[in-house]
Amino acid sequence: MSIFALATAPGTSGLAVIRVSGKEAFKVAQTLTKFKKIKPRVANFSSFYDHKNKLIDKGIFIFFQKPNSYTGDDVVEFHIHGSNAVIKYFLKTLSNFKNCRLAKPGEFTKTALLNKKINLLQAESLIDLINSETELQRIQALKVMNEDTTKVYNNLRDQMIKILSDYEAVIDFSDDEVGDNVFSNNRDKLLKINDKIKEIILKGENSEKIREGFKISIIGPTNSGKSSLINCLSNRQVSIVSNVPGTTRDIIETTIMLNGKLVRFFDTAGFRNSKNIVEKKGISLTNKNLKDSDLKLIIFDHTKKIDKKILKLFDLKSILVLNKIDIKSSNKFLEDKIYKPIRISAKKNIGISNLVKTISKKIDDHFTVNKDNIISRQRHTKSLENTVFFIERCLNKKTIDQIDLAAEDLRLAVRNLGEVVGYVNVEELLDRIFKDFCIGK
Amino acid sequence: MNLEKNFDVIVIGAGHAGCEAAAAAARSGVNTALITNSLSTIGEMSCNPAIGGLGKGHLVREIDALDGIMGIVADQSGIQFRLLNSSRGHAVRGPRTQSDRELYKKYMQEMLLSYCNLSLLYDPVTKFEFSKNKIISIETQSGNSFSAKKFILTTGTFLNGLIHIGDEKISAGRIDEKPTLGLSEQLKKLNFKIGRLKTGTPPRLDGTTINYEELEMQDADEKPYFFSYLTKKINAKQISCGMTYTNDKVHRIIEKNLKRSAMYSGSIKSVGPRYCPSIEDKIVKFKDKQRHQIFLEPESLTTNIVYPNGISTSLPKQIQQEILFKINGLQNVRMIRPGYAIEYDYVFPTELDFTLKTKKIENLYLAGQINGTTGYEEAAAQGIVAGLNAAQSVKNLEPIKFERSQSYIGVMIDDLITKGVSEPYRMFTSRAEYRLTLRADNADLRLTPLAIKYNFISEIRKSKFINKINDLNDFKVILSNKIVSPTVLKKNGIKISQDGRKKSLLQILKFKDVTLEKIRSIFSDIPKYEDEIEDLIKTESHYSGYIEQQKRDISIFEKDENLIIPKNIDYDLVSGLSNEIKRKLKEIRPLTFGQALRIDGVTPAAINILMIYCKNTLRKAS
Repeated sequence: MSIFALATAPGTSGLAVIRVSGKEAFKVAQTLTKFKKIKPRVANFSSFYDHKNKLIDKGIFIFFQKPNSYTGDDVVEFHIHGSNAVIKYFLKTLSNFKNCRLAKPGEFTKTALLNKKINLLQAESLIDLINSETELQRIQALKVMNEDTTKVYNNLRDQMIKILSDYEAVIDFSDDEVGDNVFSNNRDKLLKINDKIKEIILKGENSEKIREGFKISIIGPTNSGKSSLINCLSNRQVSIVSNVPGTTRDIIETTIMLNGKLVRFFDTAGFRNSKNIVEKKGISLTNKNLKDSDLKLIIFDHTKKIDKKILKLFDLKSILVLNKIDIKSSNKFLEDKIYKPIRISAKKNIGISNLVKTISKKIDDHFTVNKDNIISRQRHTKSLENTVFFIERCLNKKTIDQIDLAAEDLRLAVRNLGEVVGYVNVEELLDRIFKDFCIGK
Repeated sequence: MNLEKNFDVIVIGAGHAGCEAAAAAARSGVNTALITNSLSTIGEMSCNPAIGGLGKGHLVREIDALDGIMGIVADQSGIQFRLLNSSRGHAVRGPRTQSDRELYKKYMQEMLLSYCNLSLLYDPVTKFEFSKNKIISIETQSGNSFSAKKFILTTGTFLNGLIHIGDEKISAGRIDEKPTLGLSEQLKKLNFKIGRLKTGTPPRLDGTTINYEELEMQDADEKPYFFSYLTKKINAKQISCGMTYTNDKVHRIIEKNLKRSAMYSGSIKSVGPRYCPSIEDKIVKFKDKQRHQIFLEPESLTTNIVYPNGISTSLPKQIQQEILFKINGLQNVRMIRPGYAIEYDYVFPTELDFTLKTKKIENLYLAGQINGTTGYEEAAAQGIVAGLNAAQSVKNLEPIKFERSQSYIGVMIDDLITKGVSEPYRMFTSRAEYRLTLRADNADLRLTPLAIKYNFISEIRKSKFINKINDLNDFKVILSNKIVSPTVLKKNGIKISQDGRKKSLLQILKFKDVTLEKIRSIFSDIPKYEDEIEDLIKTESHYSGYIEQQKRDISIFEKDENLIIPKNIDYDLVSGLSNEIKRKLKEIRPLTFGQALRIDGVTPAAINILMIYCKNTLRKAS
């Protein structure tokens, strides 16, 4: 198993380093960079591509061949732009590799220890670092773990212990009077837990949106006024969070605060030339990009002919904008009622308030923002997703001769849940069994 | 006659732990003595007349895989074989048999006598002779003194044993047997942590006075599942057990007399096993339950004694009799002797290392109930660990470590020495993390190689095992070399996904309804192997996906388990550890980082700190 993680501090910064360690590291580097040969300990400038050949970023990468690396295994470090979006997408791409997973806290150090590499480091300072790391984690955990969220998690944990103890009792005390109907008794409860966990995951995703900003793609033909619009919005609003042009060749990202919401505008290069998008094979890729966005702004110059192919992209999560209304035009936008276009002039600052209101409302309409997110770390999401996977696998087992497999699924589910809410040990299970069942002949 | 007085290993106590320990040491080729109070109680089943059960049956199979003796003796004396959980998955099936108490003792004694380098001595031990941190000899009641290089103490419930029947208190190790006094005081003086536990047993009944006519009966399995890989056929006559129930009248009598039960009068303060509650406990804790089941288990083919499984009690004698009269089938029953509760001293198992050697006395091993466990099987399994390791140590060979990932024995030993006990420890399958891998059917595949490696195995068993492995591998090769397409299978009535991908017969066996018979009906050239091998192949195919996953988990587990913590580490010098964690580490003194992580309250962050400290100091030292 290879592990990866962001090695630099989280948050927006000029540069971010992502480290991959393990057997797969070399292959990962080859795939992402398309380099066939990679010299160890040499800084290479390269583009980084995802599995679908989409450019993620450009930057530096260095390959450290084992044992001459931090962990003692093969290590590749990618130096990329420190934007949240790029980092996140990069990590996501890495998690799509077989046998690669996000590292647990301290795992690089642990691997280094396993491989006897630690003597290269100042051990004392490392202790401090780990201490502060756990202290930070503790504080962060405490922040998230207010009374209500603790209740939610503890509740889940208790229910899982109860259900698992039912299964274990059927196995370990079958000669006592423990019922066989463990499957039917627990089915609904498991489904409910599963739904609850899914809900938590979803809330986490939504709240991530609050933290990281809602993605809005701006689509429109060249010279329809996309840049002017973005400039106009940025100037108008009080705080510009960042303005990072060209973190990738294709995407221009602008993050602004809009009515108290963090919003990230993306302008995809493909749409800068409207004729290209429909013709090039790249359309599916661009479409996927659009799917990832939370909202689309489709912008046309109202003095020019409307590109029908771009118009087709309009859906419920879209806002149609007609720009340059300061210039008179004989064009009539026929289907006003469907598209409800917002008429603006980015140049003359006309209609912008209305647009801002509309964007804000659209976000509110589509994303009931849950304030009660209780996921504090990225790896928690993964653990919860695994929990769901194993619960669902358990639910597929319905006959008593599969009780051992069903119990194994549940054990794995509980173990994954345990990574978030604290481990369940055998004694707790036994406590539960002895409390609920009259065991012992 | 010239009495031999110097041995390599002396085992004190001849219960299940002692017998197995002595046999294991003798099998390893060292000069061994087993010393006990009298010949007649060697291999005594003090409580229920049965061997095995869920989790426990796994232990017996593992003992047998190590060429131990419990499995063979239980098979020979088995009078009602039943495979528990037979309707459940293979991994959780537990072999069990009721054993004839008299036959069990007889065969156990014969078995022990067959070891030529094992001496049996009948003389109560009264005292250890110490020289610093070492026992040099033991003194016995008759005034003899015996010396040895290693001592294994397996005194069960005998250390300061105290029996309670109502308000009556009798100093005893088992009913009618004198307790062992003085030894635990000696251990206490050496700062051993000693606690007190409690267990109980039901009254014994005269079977000729039970009216079975109205009772439901439970029979033995038609096809017995033996403990030993060597056993091929039933030796003793099979019997049935009667089943009856308590009732409202019984419950009312117990409630009325609760204060007179030793358990509820306050005279017993120590903790008893929750999975083996007294009938008083059941009625107090599960008020809503209308009745509790009782199995009437004959103790022997030759006596009339019946063991009523389910009503262990410490009520006064006459109340016990009163209760029995109210139970269906027992209206006229004669109580041969009353049930009782027994309190006894145990040594905190956290005093031991993984060989069951005490950390404080370098040549003393403890095994069995003295370590806070309960059950014959748990005792015997510890006996084999202590016996083998004492012999290894005599021969100056490396200790044998049983891993959690390898056996239930390993799970138990690790639990005991890492976590200690808060109630009498019993094996459950839920204690095993790798339950689907650690099955009763593959105990030999898991452990017999160990017996061969360390050479404590008989030639018969060794050659039988090697033949089995060869057959198994041959069969696997045959099955995996035969590749078939889903369409061919479909034509022959085997429905698997028609993905067009060809599969080997071994892969096809994974599917639920595919049996070897079915396969053979299509491919007549597939040879027939012994049932044992065919079952194993089918089971392993059935679990293959899950077993693969467990294999990965095990390799992670083993990585941590191979990280040794330096023996002489001074935890006080490790900065960054909380005092609580330091205290626990100092008490348990874990051998590996994996073990350290299993200690309650020790966090992964603490382990990281510890790792760095260790690497750093090692570097400085070197």
